[in-house]
Amino acid sequence: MNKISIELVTGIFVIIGILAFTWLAVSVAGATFS
Amino acid sequence: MIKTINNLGTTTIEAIEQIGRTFNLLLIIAWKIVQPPYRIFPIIKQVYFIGARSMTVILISGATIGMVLGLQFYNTLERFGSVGVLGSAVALSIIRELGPVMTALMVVGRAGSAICAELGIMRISEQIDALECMAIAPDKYLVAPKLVAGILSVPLLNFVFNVVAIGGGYFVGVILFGVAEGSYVNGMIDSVLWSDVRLGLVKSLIFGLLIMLICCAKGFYMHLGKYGSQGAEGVSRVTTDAVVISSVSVLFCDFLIGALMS
Repeated sequence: MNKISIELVTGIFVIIGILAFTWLAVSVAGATFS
Repeated sequence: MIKTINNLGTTTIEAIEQIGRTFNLLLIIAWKIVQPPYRIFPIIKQVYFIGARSMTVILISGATIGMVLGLQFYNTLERFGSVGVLGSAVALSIIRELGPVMTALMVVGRAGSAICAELGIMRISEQIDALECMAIAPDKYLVAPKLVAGILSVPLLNFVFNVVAIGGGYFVGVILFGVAEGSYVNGMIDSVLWSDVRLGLVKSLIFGLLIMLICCAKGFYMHLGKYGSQGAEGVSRVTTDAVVISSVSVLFCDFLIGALMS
């Protein structure tokens, strides 16, 4: 069983942040051009 | 089957840890960079390495891409009888999209790979450990000047690229194909807004930070990855990884910033 490191937790949060930012950007672009 | 799933899980966890480590490095440097002692000379040295020594490749690629754009846009616009907007098309394409992206890709290829290899070799030859033994923070001493220099250099290179590429488009459109000089220049002046220039500036600032962060983190934390024990071969693989990840990140970020600021 691997230990849960601080890097792993940060990485998961960064990935969630990137996905949220992508969703936001696509929503903004959709709202702008529709 | 179980082994394959196990390997997939291990690779995924390592990749996530690497992302987290890179982000942690950014936070650590952002914290340490505001604390004394402030060293300006290493930043100037890195600006010279990343910025001034990349000038040749930026000039050549800028002129070439500008000429190619001029050629292709002329070919397309002539079919619709609207070659008068050639200047606008070339300038907007370069300032909004191609300038920041191509500049960042050129800097990744020329400076990013060299920085990653330099830090990787310092790591495997234990020079970074020696710095820690001398109570010198290696992240602030080695990585911070490169990050600051990347943020300063890439926007400046981007502006040089834009000017040269627009000149290349002018050469092909006006001098070779005989498009009216007034329509090329005035169309460009009328259509390019401050928001277009601002978009290019924001993109190049973010790209400068991103590529330097990824290249530095790959080399700096080389010993923690799977190539850490492979010596010179490991350095070459880490450098290849850094260039590929930086390039893909630049393209993905380009989409995100373009969508958000469009």
